[in-house]
Amino acid sequence: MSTATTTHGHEDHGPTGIRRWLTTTNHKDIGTMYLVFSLLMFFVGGAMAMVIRAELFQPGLQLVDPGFFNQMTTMHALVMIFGAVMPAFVGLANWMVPLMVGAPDMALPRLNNWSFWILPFAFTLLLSTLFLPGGAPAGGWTMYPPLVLQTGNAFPFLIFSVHLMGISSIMGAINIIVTIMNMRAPGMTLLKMPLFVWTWLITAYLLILVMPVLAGAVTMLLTDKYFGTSFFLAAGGGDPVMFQHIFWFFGHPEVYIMILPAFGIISEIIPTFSRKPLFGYSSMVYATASIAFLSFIVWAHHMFTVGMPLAGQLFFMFATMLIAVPTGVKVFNWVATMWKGAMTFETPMLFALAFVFLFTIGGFSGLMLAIVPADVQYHDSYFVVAHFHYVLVPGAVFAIMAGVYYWLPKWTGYMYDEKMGKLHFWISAISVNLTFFPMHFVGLAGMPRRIPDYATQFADFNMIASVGAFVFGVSQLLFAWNIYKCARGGKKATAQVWEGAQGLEWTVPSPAPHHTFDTPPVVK
Amino acid sequence: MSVIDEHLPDRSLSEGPAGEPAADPVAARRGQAVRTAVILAVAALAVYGGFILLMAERSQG
Repeated sequence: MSTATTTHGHEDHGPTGIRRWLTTTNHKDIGTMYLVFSLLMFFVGGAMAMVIRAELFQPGLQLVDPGFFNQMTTMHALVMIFGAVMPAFVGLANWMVPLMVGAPDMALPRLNNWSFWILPFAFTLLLSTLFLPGGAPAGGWTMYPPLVLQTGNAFPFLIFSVHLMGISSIMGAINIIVTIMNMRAPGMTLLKMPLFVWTWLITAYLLILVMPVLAGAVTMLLTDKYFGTSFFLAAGGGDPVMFQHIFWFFGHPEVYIMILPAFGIISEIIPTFSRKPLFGYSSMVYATASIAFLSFIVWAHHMFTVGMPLAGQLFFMFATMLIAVPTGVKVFNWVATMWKGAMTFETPMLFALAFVFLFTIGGFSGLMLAIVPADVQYHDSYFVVAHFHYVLVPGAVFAIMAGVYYWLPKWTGYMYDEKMGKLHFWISAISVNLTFFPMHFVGLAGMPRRIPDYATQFADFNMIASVGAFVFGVSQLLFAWNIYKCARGGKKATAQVWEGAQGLEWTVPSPAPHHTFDTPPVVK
Repeated sequence: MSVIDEHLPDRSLSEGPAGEPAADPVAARRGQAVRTAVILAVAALAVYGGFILLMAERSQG
């Protein structure tokens, strides 16, 4: 048995080829697999978005029948949330958390392998429904009964794949918590951890608390459909509105599961390219914890129009508005970090700056939606679509892209093509606004979401949104090409990579060796 | 050999109650990691099962 100070050779004697990837327990390999998988799902979900925007390019029904359109909206959401955004953050955590806390690997490496390899099966099941008689699920990603119970052969596939995604997420979250709580380098107290590690620790607790709730809800849907129960069937004494409460008790923290790690990434990048320490580190930690807590007591703002007592409306309205306080603390601290910093604008910083600006727009429209009388007007309109896409695309997705550009030289040992990175950023930043900003206008004017046709008064803005979406979609090929090019070679990266970078991950060579921190570093 | 075997931060579990080296600090560290994982897994299962039982009771009337 080795001790803390034991070092050993870095050469691997494990299997090679496909067996290496199937059986690997190395956090870097597993992180890479998560990231590649999420990029693949990003393009699959993106292709579905292209179908949606192509159909909405003009009023009337042109390309797909309404049933297939509904399948596309449902599958786009499921694939993007559970297949693209969440696995991307888990991939970044796998790569970076052990490096940031000075651990040689995740605490439970075999569990880590299993967590990943469940996902391809889950998404094969889900995507295979597109080829079943009756097609894929089409009742929306929220799976509201009784509509979702009308799903045909795809229904058990949907339920089983959601269960598998949940199991994968819970196992990944357990691994991250155990790693952070047990494997930190000597001297790395909780309040010395990098912000990315902190945000992931809190996210992992959120996952463990809410994914079983989703699993419970879909299990009950399954028994309602096939085993004669009436959890959500009014005819049998059940309550369909109860499903909505349960779903959003999961669904709102889920929103923060997709944004807290993004906050962590931005909190790493802005100090690096401002060449200043993060302003208000401890307030950032407490703000993250506050947001996580508040995420549990705001769920019913998603269902104001369902009807609830006035006291309930007021409680959920004010609790939702309260989230603006810790979020405002974060935005203030990012701006204060940049204040009088020696800033440079490499690609990760550009994406981080766009995140701060555009996520804030999504936050503000969220505040508008929190106001009950206003929400009664906005509900189920394109304004809601604009809101959550601002939070998730220039929010979560831009943060993931920022993180990938930031850490790519550490992973591959080569610098990516900065010119292509900047081109990717500018095309993405312009086209993402072209896509989603007009949705505010059509939403406020009354265009409902999840429909394949619309009144001609909405035609111009929809055409602009579709053009923006096509440009955004195509520009992501630059991202994929840049990553591929960087993995193949280029200008050698130094260990520190970025002049202003701080932290343990920058003390190991680039590319990071297969095994790192065999001897734990000491944090002063 | 688990990664925990190879990585023993010089923290409280390396020492016994009186500050002397623990009898088997690696086992102690590994035990703590496994305990944390089991507690979290049981918590997740409890939320899942508890939720369904609660709903079952509620839907009966």
